Amino acid sequence: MRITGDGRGVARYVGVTMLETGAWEAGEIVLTGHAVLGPHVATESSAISTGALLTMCDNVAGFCGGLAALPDGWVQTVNLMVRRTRLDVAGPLDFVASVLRKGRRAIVTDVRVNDAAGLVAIGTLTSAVLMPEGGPPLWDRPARLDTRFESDGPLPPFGEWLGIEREDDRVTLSVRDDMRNPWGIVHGGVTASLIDAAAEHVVPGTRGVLDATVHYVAPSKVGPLAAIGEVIARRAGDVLVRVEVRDTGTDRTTALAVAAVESV
Amino acid sequence: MLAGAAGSGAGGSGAAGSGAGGSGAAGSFPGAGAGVVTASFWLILRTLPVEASPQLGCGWGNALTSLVVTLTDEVAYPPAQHMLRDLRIEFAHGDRESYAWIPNVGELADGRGHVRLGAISVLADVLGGGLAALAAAPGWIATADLTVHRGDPIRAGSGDDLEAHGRVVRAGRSTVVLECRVRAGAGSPALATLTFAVLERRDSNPEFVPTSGPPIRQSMATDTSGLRVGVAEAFGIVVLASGEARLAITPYVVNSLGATQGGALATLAELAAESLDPSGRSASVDLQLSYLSLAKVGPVVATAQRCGDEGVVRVVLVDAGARRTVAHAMVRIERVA
Repeated sequence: MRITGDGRGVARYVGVTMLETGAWEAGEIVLTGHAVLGPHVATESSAISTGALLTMCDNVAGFCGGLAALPDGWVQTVNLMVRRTRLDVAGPLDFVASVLRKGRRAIVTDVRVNDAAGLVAIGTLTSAVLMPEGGPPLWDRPARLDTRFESDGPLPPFGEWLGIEREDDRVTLSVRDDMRNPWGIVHGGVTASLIDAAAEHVVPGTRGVLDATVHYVAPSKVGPLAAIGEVIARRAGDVLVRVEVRDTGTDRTTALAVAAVESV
Repeated sequence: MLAGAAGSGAGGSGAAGSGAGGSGAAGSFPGAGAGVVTASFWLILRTLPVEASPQLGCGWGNALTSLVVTLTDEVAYPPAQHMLRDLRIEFAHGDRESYAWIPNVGELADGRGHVRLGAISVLADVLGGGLAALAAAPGWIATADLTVHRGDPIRAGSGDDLEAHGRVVRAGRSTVVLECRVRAGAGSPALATLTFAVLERRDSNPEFVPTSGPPIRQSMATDTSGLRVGVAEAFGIVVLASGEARLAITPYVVNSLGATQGGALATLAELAAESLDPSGRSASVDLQLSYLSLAKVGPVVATAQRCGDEGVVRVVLVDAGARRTVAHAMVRIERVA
């Protein structure tokens, strides 16, 4: 299958276009995003899987944080918290991200997601500010990023494209180069999607994950990645699941997550 | 232009945090006052006999290093009247995992009689602060974010103490990430996660002196400590209107940095969210809170806004005196049938 267009693999696959709309000259960093949801990001019960939604939120809020970090560095996601207000999404989706706090070492951004019927999700993303080798990226301002892809055929589902495999007690994926961010580290959306799959894996038949908090605690670099979900509590309406992700190639825990999965 | 650099996600191996809630660390490790005395922690905390703490024997043993906090300054914190004393928090710290307890009294109840999420947040924050401070030594720490998800409802006043078990997930140069399970009796636990930003050490910060031997169970309570009113009222939280609540910053709720304790802010967010339901029958189930700056002037005003119909609430906490946003929270509330 041929996929063309600018942008890196993961961001391009979920397909969010982004445009800087704030008064950036005055230091106001606001980013809007738009995603036309294709069947490749859908589930049986929703026009978008929570894994794909987390990836999009990471893209938009992360890009917003990156622009806020300039010229002192660029960003890596260290914490992503997203709560869906509902699973039934009609699409397309509109995103608005803004900066809540800009510090020397970290930036906190807020993201809101709407479809035609109203609010779909809210989230908060914390990024670490780091200086890449060779300096931070240069952007024409206001920044614009078109990550839409062109394809000559139907795309496989996002999870299938990522290569997520379900085993008895875990879900796994092998790391490919097109899953890496510019730091050479596995994209936060890939890890989030693996967490989404692991959380659903321990609640068979669920319609999806309603709420996810992801702590990225170490870089995933080698792979394969393995995520194990643990049911913590069965509550009214949802199941509380803890997910730990390990990079089996380095034998390190690389992410810890808490998810609320809709009960069957 | 670096194409596709957006949202590069993943792999936060280093710097982060920065929220500087200054809650857990300062709250759980009194010190940071002014003066010159070198005093062991138990001068201000009561050391309880380990043999009276059967929980310590559960999978912990004596292998871990226990913790003695040495104050380089005169003991000024917490004052005699303080939320951490009245909650009668006890804790025992090891180098990678710790336990803490709060007596489960009726004053911890929310609108439906369960232990308030804010009380669980305080316990997790205090426990996490101690663990993170040790992991970050010689640096100091400040809470950057706190999440708490309820497990089985805990009936307030049921007799089983709240027990928190915390563990360091990752201790990096810039952040420390922890998880904490809070339970009472045999029910499913609440699950909390916390990120602490690692800060440069100040002279006023307490010192941690690891010692070998069994962990020491310590208490912040005095003989007269204890809640006499509901926990939110004790903190000084007042609901002003639907979706709006206020917390005056008094010595009772500040940490050793002079900023509002992170768990108190979590309780404020909880109250603001629940006040959106005029029936008073809603209770908070989950809370995710990002600390953005220190709340030092006050009052802190929390404004809650519904997000959809499924009980999701966004809460913004502003230090009105400093005209600064100090935290953002996402809260999920649930109405009792």
